[in-house]
Amino acid sequence: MSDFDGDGAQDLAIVNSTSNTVSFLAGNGDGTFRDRVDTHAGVAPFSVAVGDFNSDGFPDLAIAVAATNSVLVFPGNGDGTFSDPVEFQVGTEPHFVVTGDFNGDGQPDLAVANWNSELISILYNNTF
Amino acid sequence: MLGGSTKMRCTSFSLRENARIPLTVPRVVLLVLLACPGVNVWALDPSFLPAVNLTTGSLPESIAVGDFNADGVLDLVVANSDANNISVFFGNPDGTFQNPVHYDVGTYPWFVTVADLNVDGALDILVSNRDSSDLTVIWGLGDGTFLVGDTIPVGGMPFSVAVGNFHAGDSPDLVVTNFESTLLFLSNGDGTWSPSGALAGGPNPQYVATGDFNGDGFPDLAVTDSHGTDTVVILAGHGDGTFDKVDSHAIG
Repeated sequence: MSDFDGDGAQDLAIVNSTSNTVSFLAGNGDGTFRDRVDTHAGVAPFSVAVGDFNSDGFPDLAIAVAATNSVLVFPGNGDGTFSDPVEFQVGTEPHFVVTGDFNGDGQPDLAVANWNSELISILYNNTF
Repeated sequence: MLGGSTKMRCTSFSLRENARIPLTVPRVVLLVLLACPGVNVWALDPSFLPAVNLTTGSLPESIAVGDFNADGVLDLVVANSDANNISVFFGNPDGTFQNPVHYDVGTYPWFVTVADLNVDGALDILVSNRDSSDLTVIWGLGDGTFLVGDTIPVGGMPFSVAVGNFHAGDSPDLVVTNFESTLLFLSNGDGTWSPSGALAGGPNPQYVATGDFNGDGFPDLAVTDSHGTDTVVILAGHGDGTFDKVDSHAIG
């Protein structure tokens, strides 16, 4: 959850693994939400993390996609829409992605649980 | 200097007052991007280094982030579902992680939540165990050590947990989804919680998140339903342990 369209109200991003989409629901600020906008995330997305991965001031989405052993990062445009994703390879069948600045350089990094490989993958953000 | 794989994109909206341009961006990048037609602001494609892999336990299902030893550096906790334990990886200031420390929990731990559950200033860990149908409470002592505490019986397949002050009192309460119900557990103020009934929602609730969606100062809930009706339900909290369903949307 984050404020994806910059209007001060909390919005929701939900991954749908059976339809291979991410649904974005814009919050109205009163507890109700407008109808969803879907972005196709690839096959079987499992988990979503929110962060400003390209430091442009707008929240982006990072989604673990088990079927492609990768993470897709959708840059947010600040108005509730998202641009085409960039893909990063991780381990086998990633089921979960979280974000944090692990090396203290001011850019959010990613940590991914690869369900079928006994490994977690750390992706250090090097946008800048 | 930019990495070889860095790409830039021209965007089509005006400069917003809150858009930031990091001071570390080389000036040659700014000149190139300001030449994009009809554009006042730009954005780089996000870029990450190739994955660095760390060995954890069997079938890791989820991760949570927190500073467990209060050294200012983020740490990780991983739920190793097939090993019936969790792994705590302490972070080093350079971004690398130390070898993990393991704690035994319930059966098939598949979700892990980090929060200060007893308001002592130290982060604790809550582990959702699918096959023992309970939550394991792991108390953080603030220095990186942990004390495995009691289990909270839930029933069903406990999965996602939302932690918040849903009722009066200083200690946070819990809302747990278990693919059957969305269950409220009110804090007793002593490190234990009492089951306090089921909340409205779909027949197969999966994820729950909390936030103040209506700006009234009381935490609300968003609950997704997985195989039943494929919806997300919004429950507005009143700060007294009660919630009203105020919105619902079809998803996926």
